[in-house]
Amino acid sequence: MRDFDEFVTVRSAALLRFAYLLTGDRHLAEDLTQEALVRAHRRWHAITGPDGPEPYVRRAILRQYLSWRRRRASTERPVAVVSPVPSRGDLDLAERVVEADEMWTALSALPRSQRAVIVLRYYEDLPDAEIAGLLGCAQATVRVHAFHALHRLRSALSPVPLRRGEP
Amino acid sequence: MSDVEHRVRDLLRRHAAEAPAGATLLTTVRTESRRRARRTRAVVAAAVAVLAGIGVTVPLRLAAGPGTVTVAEPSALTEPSGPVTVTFPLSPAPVDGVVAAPDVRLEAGLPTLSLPMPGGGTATLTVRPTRPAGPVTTPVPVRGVQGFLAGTADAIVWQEGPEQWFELRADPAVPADHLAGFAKSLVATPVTAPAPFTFAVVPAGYAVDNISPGAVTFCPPDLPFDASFVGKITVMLGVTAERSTGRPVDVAGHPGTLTGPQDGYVVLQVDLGDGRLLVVQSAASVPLPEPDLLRFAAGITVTPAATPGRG
Repeated sequence: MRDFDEFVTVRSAALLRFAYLLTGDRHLAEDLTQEALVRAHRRWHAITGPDGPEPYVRRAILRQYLSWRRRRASTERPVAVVSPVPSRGDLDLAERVVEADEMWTALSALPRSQRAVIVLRYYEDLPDAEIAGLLGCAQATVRVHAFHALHRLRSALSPVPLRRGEP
Repeated sequence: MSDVEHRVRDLLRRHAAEAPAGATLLTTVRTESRRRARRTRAVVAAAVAVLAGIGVTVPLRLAAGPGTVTVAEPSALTEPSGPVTVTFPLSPAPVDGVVAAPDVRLEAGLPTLSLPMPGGGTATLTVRPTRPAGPVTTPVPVRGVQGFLAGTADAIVWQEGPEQWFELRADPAVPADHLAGFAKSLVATPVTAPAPFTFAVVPAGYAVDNISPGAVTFCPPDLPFDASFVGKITVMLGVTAERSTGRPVDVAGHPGTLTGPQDGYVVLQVDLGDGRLLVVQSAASVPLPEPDLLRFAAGITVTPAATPGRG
């Protein structure tokens, strides 16, 4: 299986980035990627498709991420309340860093299906139809997930802070 | 694209750089894959040896040879994390050395034990990790701890562990001191119901929320546990007289019929050849693709503990 070795060598970094953005957890990202690759390795010669094995492995990572509830439920640390954080275009660098951290935290507090939609839409740049196919839902559901996710993330960027010296 | 969307895109690109490098990933994957291959061979060999020794159960398995399966997508099925059984932490005390056979089930995700009460009626005991919802009123001593009357004073609840609350009621209702007396007769010996079915694979991400001798339900992740079959994948045992017409399919060499989606469900019926019918009902709202549905059914073994029932 030299082509499997080559695939892992060439594509593992991208797969790990995908898994990390889904989970926000480096160890879990490695676990999901490893599990997906183990399954792919065991049926490597049966995996077919016009785009090669990568769609298969990505779907496997996604499915595991969406279904890890029973195995990971005891270790999850959901964030109950998203803290509002100051934001606007003229924030200085330190404030932008804080804002990014808060937004990352807000992202981690999203339900998994919503977070998956955000990653697939804004990192993988997939159209809604393809996301719907991956998640096994309707396009309308993808749009609803995106709407709610963006609403919550937007909430993390408000209210507008009153900067010193402003009325 | 809105400002928030731009920020999300930037955020994801920035954090993607924090992903692990996975330097040892290839080695780890190869090692784990070999270990699983060895384990699979060992399990198959052991199963063959056991079946050859007892020759009783009727396992269904797909007889797919090398090169006959084309996998274009990852399966919606996964290996089960353990046997699909339910254990209740208390059991009836032996009387004259004989232990009454309790009826242990999983109902809406909660282990439940039912027993005939002395003098008639049936006692039903449920264990859950938190205190049952609803008001509690009069204190009642139960099994050495302080319990309470609950519901419309027809049940008692008490706690025996950090995440172990019991609720006991009787049908027909009896006074609280009778319930407490009955509870006292139970011993802290767990009792496990024999599994009605075993599964080679299960729907990924689903949780089992009901187990009875006639049915097992798999609840999708976004649905709360309840005692119904609505919106779930349900495995049942029926009788061939109930068999309905549909599209013929082959399930590991057994004749099956596939119907639906109709009334919100796809139903696969597999004739076991002995008057019994294995029924897999999949809600159309959470469809299991047909190849996975057939593979799921092919991996089900009906055990002697299963009894025909209706949902």
